[in-house]
Amino acid sequence: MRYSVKQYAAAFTSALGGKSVSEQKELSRRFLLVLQRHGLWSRRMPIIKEVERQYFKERGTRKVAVAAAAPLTAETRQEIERIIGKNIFWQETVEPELLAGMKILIDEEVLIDATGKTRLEKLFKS
Amino acid sequence: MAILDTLKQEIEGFKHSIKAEKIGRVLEAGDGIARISGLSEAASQEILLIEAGAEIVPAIAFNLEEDAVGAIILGDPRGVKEGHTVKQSGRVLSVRVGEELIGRVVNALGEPQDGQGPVFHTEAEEIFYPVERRAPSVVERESVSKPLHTGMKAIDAMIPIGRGQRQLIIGDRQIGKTSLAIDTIIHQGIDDPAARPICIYVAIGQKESKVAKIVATLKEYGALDYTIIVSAPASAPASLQYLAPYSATAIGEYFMHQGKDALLVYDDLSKHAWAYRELSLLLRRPPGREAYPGDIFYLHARLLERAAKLSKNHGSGSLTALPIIETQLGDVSSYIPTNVISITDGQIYLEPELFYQGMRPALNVGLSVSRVGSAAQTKAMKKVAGRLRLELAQFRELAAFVQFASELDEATRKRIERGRVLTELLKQPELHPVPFEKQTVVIYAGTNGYFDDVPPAKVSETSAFLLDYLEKMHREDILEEIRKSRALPDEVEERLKRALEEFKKLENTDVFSSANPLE
Repeated sequence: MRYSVKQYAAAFTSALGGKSVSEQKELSRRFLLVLQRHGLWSRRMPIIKEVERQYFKERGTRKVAVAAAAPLTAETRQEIERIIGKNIFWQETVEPELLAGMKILIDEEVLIDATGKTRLEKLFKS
Repeated sequence: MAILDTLKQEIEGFKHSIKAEKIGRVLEAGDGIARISGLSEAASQEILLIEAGAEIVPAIAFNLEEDAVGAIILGDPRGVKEGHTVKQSGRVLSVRVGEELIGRVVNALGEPQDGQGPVFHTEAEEIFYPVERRAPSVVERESVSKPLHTGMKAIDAMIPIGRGQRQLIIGDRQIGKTSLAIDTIIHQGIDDPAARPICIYVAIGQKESKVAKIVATLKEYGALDYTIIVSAPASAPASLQYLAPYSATAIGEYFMHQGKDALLVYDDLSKHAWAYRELSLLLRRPPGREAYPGDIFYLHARLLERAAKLSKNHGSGSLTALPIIETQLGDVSSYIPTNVISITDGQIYLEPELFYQGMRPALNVGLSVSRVGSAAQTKAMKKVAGRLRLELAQFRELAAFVQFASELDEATRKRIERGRVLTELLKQPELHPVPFEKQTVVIYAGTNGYFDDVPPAKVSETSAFLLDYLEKMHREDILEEIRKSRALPDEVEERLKRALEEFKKLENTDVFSSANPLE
């Protein structure tokens, strides 16, 4: 690879700044062509993830993925916003197999696991 | 009802705290390694836990790259897939140690491999030693002074090993390297029971059949009572072959810190270097000479530096290392052999030519050395073996000359005869280690001319008869005296001289012609 994943992501993120939605779409298409030309098609996912990370970081946005046993209530969302911040990019999924509680993944780096399933697993392992 | 009460108590007493933890994701996995994104705070050599479905597979952080962590997988790599969550454990790899390991065969992670159930009882104290550890400093050590007898006459006489020394065994394939190490282990059972070291044999990249045979041999000779086997055979992943010597050293350090002596045999470090090269190339570390990574010297240096003789203030324990290196076509000047030669305190070089000439052990005395030297010899052996090396060196020079000369003067002829006798005396069959007091008397007899009139082909048989004679007739007044005092005082030497004269008279009357004490 001529440049690192971070360098590709930084260049693309910086190019996106100040562009309209349609311009950003065209820029994204060209970026993927560049990756293909550089022989980096197989590494596109880590680069795209890094782009997402830098994009959110620049805008002070936190990516929060919540997997819960039941749909989130408004109060729960407010409580999460109170702790993490208002500028949140939400990803919510409902997984009944979690039995109870929820798993919160912040910026794909920090995990808070408060599900009933994990608690039971730890209980039976101990 | 009692069961329900117990379960109820356990559930009520169960404490589970919810905390935020940093995680990573597997980007790619294969060939025993995984690349993991995230985990920006992972430490080098930290244990990572890969949640591969229902199983938690441990791995070690090896490469800390800008955007990913390269890890070597310790458990079964087949279940690890892209996207699996990875968590940090916050600790480095350690192995559980204790007396219970003695007599057992374990893998590089300390898990039993001999089908005899768990190694440790549930109530046993849990002691963990880190696999990677700083070597003892200069202040913690003292000079090597106590001998570690191998039971091999040639080695104990001319290339003596001391407790706390690193002595390399180097030679081509099938030359007797492992046999020498196994004989050394077996000999510890008879040498000095009060000061018997705990022996640890590390099999790295060996055939499982070979390891099984070694275990059976050690069991047959009662050596498994004080030996631990750490096995990372050829079928084990490269990660376990890489870790095995370090885990075994951690086990040895436990005994060393208890004030005991431990002996470690690494069989062999050539395959260890191959396993490390494999991991490094898979993790895309830049290859250097012969495709080995740049830190291949450090791989063995940091391992062997952990062998030491500790000072009295630190318990006086010792860890002796016998690393084995396999050469290709006798080339001791290639990369890995020269590396390890420069690290160790001497080498025992086994030569193919000598092997095929029937010299077993095929020891090349000229190229072999012990940098500790006579500081690690008993006074008895020092007294008798002083001239041995010189006489053999003179014989080797003259042996080449005699092929061209037709007439020899008396002195030269005698020197050659003496050299032939001494060469025969130093030959020794496998699995027959000889106690040092018997070595002393045999070498004394050889260097003082008592075998000069024995044909070279009969020397071995005659020396066996001699030992049998001394065992039966002079066990207390000569052999036991030497054994207890570890010296050859003048009065014992006089008794030995008289005994040798008596033996020669008996030998001349053909008393032993029909008996073979070896059968």
